[in-house]
Amino acid sequence: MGFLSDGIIDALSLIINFDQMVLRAANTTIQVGVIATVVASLIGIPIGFFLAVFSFKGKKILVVLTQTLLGLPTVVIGLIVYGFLSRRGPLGFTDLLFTPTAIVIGLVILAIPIVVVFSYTTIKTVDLRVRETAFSLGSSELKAAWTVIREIRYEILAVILAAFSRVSSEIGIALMLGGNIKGFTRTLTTAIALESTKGEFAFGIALSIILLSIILIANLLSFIFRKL
Amino acid sequence: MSFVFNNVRVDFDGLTALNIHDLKIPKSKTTWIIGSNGSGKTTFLKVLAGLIIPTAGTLTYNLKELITRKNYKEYRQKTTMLSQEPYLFRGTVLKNVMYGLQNQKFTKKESKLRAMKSLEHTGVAYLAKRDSKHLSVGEKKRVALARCVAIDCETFLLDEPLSGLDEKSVSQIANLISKLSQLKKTLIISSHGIEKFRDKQDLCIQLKSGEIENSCKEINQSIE
Amino acid sequence: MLQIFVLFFVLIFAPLHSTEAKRLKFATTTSVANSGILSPLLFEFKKKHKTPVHAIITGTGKALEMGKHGDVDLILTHAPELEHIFIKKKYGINKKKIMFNYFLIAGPLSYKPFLKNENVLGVLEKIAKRKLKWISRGDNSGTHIKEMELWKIARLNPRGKWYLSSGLGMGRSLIMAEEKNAFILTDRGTYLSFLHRNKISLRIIFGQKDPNLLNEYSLIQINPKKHKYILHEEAVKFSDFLVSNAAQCIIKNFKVKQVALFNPASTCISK
Repeated sequence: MGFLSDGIIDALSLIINFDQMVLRAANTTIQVGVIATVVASLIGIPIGFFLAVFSFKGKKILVVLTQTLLGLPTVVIGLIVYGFLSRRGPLGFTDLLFTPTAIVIGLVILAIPIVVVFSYTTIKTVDLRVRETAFSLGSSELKAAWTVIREIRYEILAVILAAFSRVSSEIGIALMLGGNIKGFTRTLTTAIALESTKGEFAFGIALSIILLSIILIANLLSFIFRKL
Repeated sequence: MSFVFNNVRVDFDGLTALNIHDLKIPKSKTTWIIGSNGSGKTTFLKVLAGLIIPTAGTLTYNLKELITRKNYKEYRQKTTMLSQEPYLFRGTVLKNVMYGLQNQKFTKKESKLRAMKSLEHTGVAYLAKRDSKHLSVGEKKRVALARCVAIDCETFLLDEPLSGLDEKSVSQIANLISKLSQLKKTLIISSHGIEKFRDKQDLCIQLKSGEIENSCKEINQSIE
Repeated sequence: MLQIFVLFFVLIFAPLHSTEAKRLKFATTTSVANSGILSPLLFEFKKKHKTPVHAIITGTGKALEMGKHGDVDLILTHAPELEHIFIKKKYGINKKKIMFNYFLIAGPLSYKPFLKNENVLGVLEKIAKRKLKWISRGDNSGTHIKEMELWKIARLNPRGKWYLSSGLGMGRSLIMAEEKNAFILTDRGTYLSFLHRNKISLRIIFGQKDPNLLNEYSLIQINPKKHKYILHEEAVKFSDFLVSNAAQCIIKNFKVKQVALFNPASTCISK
């Protein structure tokens, strides 16, 4: 139990002293997390919208399949992407393995099902009435879609935040595809993993407090944005 | 002739919700659709609004076959519909009323002017700056009606515009309806029962289980 | 539309990619990384060479796998037999011994007098006979492979409730041994670093320089004929650097709490 209270004290001292390693790791975490979330949202929200609004053959199977993908272990995503990015793999020429970009690719794959499933359920609950109202007031298909998104923008924002939280607290992908290179691909989570292999549990707790603070700040920012 | 139904059928999950063999709805007149809950009034209006595509049959508008899978999207621009339980978008009441106008490429200034005028017609101009989420049921309905009639359309489809309103609002909206009919607009209005202010020249259709039960004449007689 | 999409992606990734120019990658084990020896070595290399060196920290098994696929340019591992096969299959070339130390057996202090022996095999025999709790890494790491070798040489077949396979890294296995009051085979670096930071109270039960316990770290260059992306020239430079007098002296002088963790493979001549 001792290391829990030590962890809180460590976290404070790390933040106060602007520890270089921690700053770099936090920076990498935020950078890959934000980019992965943005890309996954740009891909996932339209898919969620499409699934919620249009009916076509095999839609139910597609929805169930996406929901199943939510359970995909991050290590498996890491392995699959590794297979592609490995120099022997089809994308080996890009030399992306063990770079932040590789982490982003893995995280995007992790986040897309999250964004799709949650935006699908949110859009579905409001869609019909909003769309019918938009159409009956002379909207085009595109304008109606935009209206739907506008109407549930706060719910969509919550979906994006959930994706960001998941992506920045993930470890398997960051470790596998980033390689945990100091000052380059070391994220807060891979740093936590490394510290725990060193037996530095308190330090690991300290890092996770910093990670949670980042996620908390993201949520607070969205709260302020909502008030505007 | 405005709308002509020819064996129009609408199925939901294999169940027939609407089945109209032969019906003509004239232009520039007011037609009432009378029926109890679940009689198919809303489906009827949604078909005319282009929100539901018939499962079978043809529907023509001004002798042109219009409501098909291909062109119902452009057709929607010519009509506007008020839902029974209208949905108001996020934002102010004024913004809601301006929504349809801006779809019609009015400038912002002009939309604002028209929107305010429309809100006056339904007696809710004082709500213009209010948030749409904090309105009573009656207020919501009148705002939605204002949003609907603000648009310059040929056809207005109103799904139970008078239900849930107090007497004062009812007479206000009745006034508005007669004004629209004086402007030679095509009005199709659904209602639970026979409204007392209905004009004698108005037509009516009674629906039961998705089919036409009574012609207008009989109902007209019952009023007299 | 597609062009906009591609452009968008390029713009998004540009800030990440600018730092990803030519770089030398070598995979190594957690035991090397956790000891802290990499920092002074990489610092010294950086003084004379422009190419950035990225250490990818993983286990011996994974490091060999990465090398096999050509995902790294060099590997620094400690599993002589696997390395031998690796080179035999032409995945790697120019194996160079960099440093070494001795594995040791750690366990609860109270058993120390009882287990006293001249030979590591004797200690193992006593542990197996008494069915004293033992933690095995069980993860195909260099240490685990060494442990399996030892049981084999001692002609013992460890099985039963007393023999626990953790599947964890060295550090966490040490903590497990601490919690369970068990014996464990560990590399010297990790053991000392855990002991000095008061993470464990296990004592050295057998710590002599028994040839059976030799723990040798070697650097292997990945065969450039197998993969066209290998930075062979830089890999040779790095390889030459690690066996140079300067690097060997850094290894010799690297101490944690006045205790040297590694012995250089060749002698360091102080100037």
